[in-house]
Amino acid sequence: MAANEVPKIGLDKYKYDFKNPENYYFRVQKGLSREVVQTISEMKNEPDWMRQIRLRALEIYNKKPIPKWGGNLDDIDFDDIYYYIKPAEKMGKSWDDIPRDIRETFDKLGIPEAEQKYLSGVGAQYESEAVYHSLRENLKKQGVIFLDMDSGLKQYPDLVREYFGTVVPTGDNKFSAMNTAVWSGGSFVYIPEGVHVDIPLQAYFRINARNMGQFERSLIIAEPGSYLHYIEGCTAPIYSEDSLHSGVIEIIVKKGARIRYTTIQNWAPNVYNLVTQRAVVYEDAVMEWVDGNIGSKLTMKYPAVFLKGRGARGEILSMSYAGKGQHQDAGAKAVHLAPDTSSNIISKSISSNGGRASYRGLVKVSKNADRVKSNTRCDALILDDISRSDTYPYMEVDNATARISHEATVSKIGDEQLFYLQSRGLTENEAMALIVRGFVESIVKELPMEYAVELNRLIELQMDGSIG
Amino acid sequence: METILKQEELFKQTVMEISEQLAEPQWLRKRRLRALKIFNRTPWPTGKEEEWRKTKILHFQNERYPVPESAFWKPGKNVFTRIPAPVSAFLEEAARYAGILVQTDALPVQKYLGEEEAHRHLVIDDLPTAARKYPEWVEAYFMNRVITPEQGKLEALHGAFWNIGAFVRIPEGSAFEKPIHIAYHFTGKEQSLYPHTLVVAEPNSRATIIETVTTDEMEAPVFLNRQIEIFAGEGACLDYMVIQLEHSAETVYSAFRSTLKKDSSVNWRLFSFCGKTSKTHLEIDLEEEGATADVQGIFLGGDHQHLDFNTIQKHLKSRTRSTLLLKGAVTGHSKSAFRGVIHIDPNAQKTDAYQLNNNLLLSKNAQADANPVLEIEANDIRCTHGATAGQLDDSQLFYLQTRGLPLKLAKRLIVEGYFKTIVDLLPNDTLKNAVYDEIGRKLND
Repeated sequence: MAANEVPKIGLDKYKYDFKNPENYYFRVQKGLSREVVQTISEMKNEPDWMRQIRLRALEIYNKKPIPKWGGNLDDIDFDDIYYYIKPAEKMGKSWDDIPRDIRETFDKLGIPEAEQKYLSGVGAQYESEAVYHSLRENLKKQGVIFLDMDSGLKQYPDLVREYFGTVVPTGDNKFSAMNTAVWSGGSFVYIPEGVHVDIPLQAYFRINARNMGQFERSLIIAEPGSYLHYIEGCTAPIYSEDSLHSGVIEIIVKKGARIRYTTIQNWAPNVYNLVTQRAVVYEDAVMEWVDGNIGSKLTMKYPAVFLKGRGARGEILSMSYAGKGQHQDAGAKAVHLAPDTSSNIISKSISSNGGRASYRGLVKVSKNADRVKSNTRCDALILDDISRSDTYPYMEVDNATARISHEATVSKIGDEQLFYLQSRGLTENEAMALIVRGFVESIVKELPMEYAVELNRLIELQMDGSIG
Repeated sequence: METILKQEELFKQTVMEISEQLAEPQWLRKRRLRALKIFNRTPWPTGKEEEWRKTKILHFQNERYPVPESAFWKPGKNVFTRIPAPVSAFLEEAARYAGILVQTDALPVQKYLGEEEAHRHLVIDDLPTAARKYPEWVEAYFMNRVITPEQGKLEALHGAFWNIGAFVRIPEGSAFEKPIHIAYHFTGKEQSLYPHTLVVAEPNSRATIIETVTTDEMEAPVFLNRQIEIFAGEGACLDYMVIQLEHSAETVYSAFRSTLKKDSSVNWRLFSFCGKTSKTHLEIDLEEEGATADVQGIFLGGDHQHLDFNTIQKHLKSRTRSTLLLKGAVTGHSKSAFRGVIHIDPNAQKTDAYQLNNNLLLSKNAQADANPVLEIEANDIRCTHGATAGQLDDSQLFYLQTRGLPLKLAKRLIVEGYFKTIVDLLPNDTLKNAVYDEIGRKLND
C-alpha cells in the first residue's frame, strides 16, 4: 500500500444519494425556539401534558452546555436547522396513498419489497413524520401494537404517559432534552405478555430536505415473556450543509422478555447522528443491541442497558466503519443495578481514509449488585497511516463479588495474511476486503441475512479503491 | 483581590527565603520565581478534566501547603539527632548499595558512596548541594527537560517550593551492578514536603535506583508533593523502583516522569501504599526511535484510602515499545481509580504497546474504577490493553483452609502470591520484606 496515496474512495459511492424536490406540506422556520415547540405541539394537536413536557425540555436544553467530550460538535449551526417538516397532509394506509416522490424514494430503498418478503410490520418516516405504517393482521389480533409515536400518543395516551421519559429522562443529556422538546415520529411498540413476534418489525428513517433535523422518538414496551426483533435503518441524500439526527429510543423489557434492536445506520456524510438509546431490563429478561454504524459525519451513540432485575442480561454488539471525513464515536453502556446480572459487549471498528473510530463505553456495578459478570472486547483495525482509532472504556466497580474484564486490541492487517491471499490469486484489494469481512464476521452473522449481505456490500464499497 | 495579592506576596517571600537558606545560584532562584509566576496564573483543575474526574482537587488546595517550615530553617541550627528505624535498616546494609542518600525532613543527614563507584564518577548528592557543585548538569536538566512547571498547577507549585531532593548522574558508558538507594524520611514536623529527584543517565550507562519514602506516625496532616524526573540518554538503561510507605501522609501528589532517547530503556517499578488521598501521575515519553519502557507496579488500599493512578505511555517515534502492568487490591472502605493512556503519534509506526490493570476487590465496601485508553494515530502498530476486576478465588481459599490455615492467613497468602511476581523484582530481601510487611499490616487493619 502506498503510504500517502490520496484515497480514491469518494462520497460519490454513497448509493442513497438521490433527492426529491423539497415539497412539503408544512415547515416551521429555522432554529429552535419556544414558538417552534408550540407550533409543533399545535400541529400535532397534542394533550396539554405533552406540550408541558416539551416546553420544560426546551428550558433544560437551553441550560445544558454542549458536551466537550466525544466528537467535535463546534461546527453545528443549531440556528440553521429546520426542526420540523411535515411532508404530507396525512399518513398513507397503503403505499399507493402517499405522494409519488416519497413512495418512489422508499421503492428505491427496497422497503415495500422487504415488507412482503421478510418483515411482519413496516414503519416509514420521511422528514419529521411517518408516511406509512403497517402490521400483519395476525399480530394485530394478538394485541401487538406497532404505530408511529404520534398515533401511539393519540390512541394509547395512558400507556405513553406511563412510560414516556422514564427510561431516558429529559435532562439525561443535551440532545435527549432537544429531542424531548421537538420530537416527531418514531415508533410506538407494545408486545403483550407471552407474545412472540417471530418475524422482525422494521422502521426506516429518511431525511430528504437540506438543513433538516430529524428527532424521532421511539418507545418499545415488552410485557413479560414476550419477544421482538426490531430493525431500524436510516439514509439521507448528500448536501453540503449539515443535517442533524437526534433520536431517543426507550425500551422496557419486562420479566423474562427478550428484545433485539438492530440498527444499520447509513446516514449521508453530512449528517450529525447524536442518539440516546437505552433499555431498562427486568428480572431474567434479555436486551440485545446490534449496532452498525457505517454512515454519518459524526455519530455519538452508546446503546445502554440498565439491568434492574435479578438475572437480567444485556448484549451489545457494535460495529463501526469510519471512512473519509467520518468520526464514529460509538460504544456501549451497561449499568448493573441488581444481583446476578450479566453483560457482554463486543465492538469491532475499522478506520480508513483518514477516518476516526472510537469506542467509548461504561460498565458500572452498583453496591448491592452481587455476582455480576461483564466482559468487554474491543477490536480495531486501522487500514492506513492517516486514520485513527481510540478506545475509552470506563469501569466502575462498587461490589467485591463482581467479575469484570475488558480487553482491546488495535492492529493493522497482517502482511502475512495479505501475502498469503495474494499468493492464492486475489488482488490486494480483494484480499483486504476478505480480511475485513472476516474481522467483522462475528457481528455480521447476528444480522438477518439480507442485512448481512447489505453490510458486507457496504464495507466493500467503503473500501473500494482505498488501495493505491 | 487584596487577599490574592497578599498571598502572592507571601508566596514570593517564602520562595526567596527558601532560595536564600539553600544559598542557591541565581539561575535556580529565577527558575523558582518563574514557577511561582506560572502557579499564580494557572487555574486549578475543575474536576472535569479526564485526569481529575476521580480525585477531588480540594484535597490539594490546602491552606497550609505554601509555607514549608524549612523556609525558616537555619543550617546547623536544627541538628537531627535520631536516625529513624526504617532508614537505619537501610544504612546497616550500606555495603549492598553503590550509594545511599538519606534525608530526613529538610535535612540531608547521611550520604554514603562506595569507593569504587566514586572513582568511576557516579554522582549522588542532595539537590541543593548538586545545584552548586554541578551547575552545568543541574541547570540543563532540572525542571527544564522532563518535568516543567507548565505541565500543571501542582508541578508549578513544586517548582516554586521544593526544598529537598536528590541528584543522581550515571556517567557515560558506565554500568553499576549494585543499586543506588535514595531514602526520604519524614517525621511530621513539617507539614508541606516537596522532595524532588533528578536522574540523568548518560548515554550507554546502566544502573538501578531504589527510592523509598517512609514516615513516623504523624499526628498533624501532612501534604506531600513529590516529583521524580528521569532523563535517559541514548542507549542508557535504568531500573527505577519507588517504594511508597508514607502511610501516615494525608495527601500525596506524585509526578513520575521519564524522557527516553534513542535505544534507551527505563523500567519503572511502583510499590504504592501511601497517603489517605494519593494521586500519582506516571508518564513515559518515548522521544526517539528504539526506546523501550516497562512499568510494573502494585498498589494496596485499605481503610478509607483513595488511590488514583494516571499513566501515560507516549509513543512519539517509530520502533518504540512500552508495556505496563498495574496490579491493585482494595480492602476496607478504600477506593482506587486507574486511568491509563497509550498514545501513538502518527510518526510512531512499528510500535508495540501493551497495558494491563488487574483489580482485586477484598471487601464489600471497597471500590475499583478502571479506564484504560488507547489513542492511536498510526496504523503499522500492535497495541492491546486489558482491565479486570474480581475477588479472591473461593476454591483457592477453600483449599488453603482445608490444609488448616485460618481464613485471614489464607487470604494474605493469596494476596501476596498475586503481588509476588512484581515484588520479586526488588533487588534484596530487606526491601521485599518491607513491602510484604506493609501488605500484612494493611490486610490486618
